Amino acid sequence: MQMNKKLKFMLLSLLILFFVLFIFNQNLAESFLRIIFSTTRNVIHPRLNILNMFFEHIILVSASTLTATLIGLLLGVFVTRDSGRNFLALVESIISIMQTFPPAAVLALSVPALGYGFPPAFVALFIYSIFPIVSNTIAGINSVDKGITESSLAIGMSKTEILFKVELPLALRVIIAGVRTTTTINVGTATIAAVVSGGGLGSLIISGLIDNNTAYIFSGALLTAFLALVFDSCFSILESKIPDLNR
Amino acid sequence: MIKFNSVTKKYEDFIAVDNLNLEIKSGELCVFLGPSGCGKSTTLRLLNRLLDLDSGNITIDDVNIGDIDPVTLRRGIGYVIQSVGLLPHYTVKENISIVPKLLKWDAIKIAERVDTLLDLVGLSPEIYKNKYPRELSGGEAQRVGVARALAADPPILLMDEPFGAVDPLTRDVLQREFLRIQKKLKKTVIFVTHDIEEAVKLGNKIAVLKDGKLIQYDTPDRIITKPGNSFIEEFIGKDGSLKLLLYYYVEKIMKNRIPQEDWVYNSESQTLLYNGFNFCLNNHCVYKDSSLKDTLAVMLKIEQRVLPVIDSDKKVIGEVYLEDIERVFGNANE
Repeated sequence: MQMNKKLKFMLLSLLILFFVLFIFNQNLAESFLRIIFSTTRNVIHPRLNILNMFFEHIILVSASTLTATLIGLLLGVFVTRDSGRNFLALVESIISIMQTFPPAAVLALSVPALGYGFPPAFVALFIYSIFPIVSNTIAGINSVDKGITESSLAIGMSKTEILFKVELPLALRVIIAGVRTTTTINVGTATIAAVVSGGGLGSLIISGLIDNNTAYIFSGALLTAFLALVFDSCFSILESKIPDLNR
Repeated sequence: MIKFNSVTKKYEDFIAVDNLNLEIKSGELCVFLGPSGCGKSTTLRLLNRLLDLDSGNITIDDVNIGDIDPVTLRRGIGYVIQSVGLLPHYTVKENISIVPKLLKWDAIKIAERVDTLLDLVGLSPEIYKNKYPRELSGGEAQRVGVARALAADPPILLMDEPFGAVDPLTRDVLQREFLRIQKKLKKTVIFVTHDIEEAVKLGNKIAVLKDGKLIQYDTPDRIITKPGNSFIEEFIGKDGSLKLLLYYYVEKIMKNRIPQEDWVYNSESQTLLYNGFNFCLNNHCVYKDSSLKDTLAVMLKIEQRVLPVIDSDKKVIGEVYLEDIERVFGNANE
């Protein structure tokens, strides 16, 4: 077990080292890709900078996930309050309908309104992110033992105090799980942003498709997968820090 | 003093509480007794405004509770429920501190209060203060629940089947401990239960409820000896007289004057020799706060008409006679 953990840690460190070098050192990345794609003329895109695309991707994912978390949390809290409970069914159905739109369609639809670039990509990702966050917030809050919320009310905590001191802390684990799912999915979906020139690692993949250059596609996909892994690991560590309180 | 004046609570067509009139004196422990769905819990929840009543009013010391802000009202009323409802992410100390903190007590006063309360409910502060609810047994959690309810020293305590979920042995211990605490603190307590034995053991008064109506409101001994109608009679059962014995304690009928030399103590076998019979200290002796039911049970078991009463140091302080137990029935039946 001990050995296993050590091995895992070493492998992970090597993997991270590899990707850091790949992203920051163009020459090293080129020679690596050369090994696989020996016959391809260009393995590194002459105009697209890997580092730039990588950060654009991170920003796109972070911005959309953070906004969705904020709004999703507010919505989830609102529909579990006494005053908002009537909207529960409505919000749930609207959000699940939004989920059924294909990302490409959302992008295509938002371009006329928002133009090309970051905004339509952001909107599409936001729409995809909000569902898991709202539904996990609702599930998390509803999973809190009724006996606990009721006795908290009965001993004289106000509704607001119960929300912040009882419901949200106890629902935190489930909410974070929702954010984790969202983020991981978003990293993948964000590659489509390149279709509307939203930037990110998708640009590399799209140019690969246009130029019929497998090396571009491969490196774009590889980096996207790496990013997803990084985000997921961060959340995994975060989740392990929150004790499971609902027995 | 708590007063229910023509209180009615309806759920659409169902009348949960039907024109309830009741008066509970300060310092009294009043038990709401009745089968499930009789409205006893609903009545309790009307009092701390977890529910709103449809007509009538409830006053506490002549103040209509409808005029008090619900949150303020609840902070002055302790509340204990069957599922305890401790916050799982708070330690025992933090759980007990909730209400004092809301009332903005200073930290030192709160810390002292927590220790005092844990001592009161029979849990060592040093051991339990920093534990989390999941590390507690059912009985321990319920003790913490009682401590939390008493935290801000509210004059009123509401208890909704608080000992319903623990095993019978623990329940008995918790009931005794609670009686001891109540004797000391003299809170105005409303205690909801469907267990008549619990009602008789704990209550100064019992309010029997059925279908939202108050059927009888009286002292436990009178409820048992003079049941108001056939429903109560049935609810008490044929062994009502034995249940009555739960209401009385050895202290009430024991004889204090005893020539010590009559009871010969044998330290080796841990027995007391009296009248040719060896009374085992652990099994055949009773305490001042033993119920007469236990006392009678021991008498029947060892076929003796008298038992020694001992104190916590196992010293004889008196004796209790079968005739006196019989006389209790006689008096109650008059």
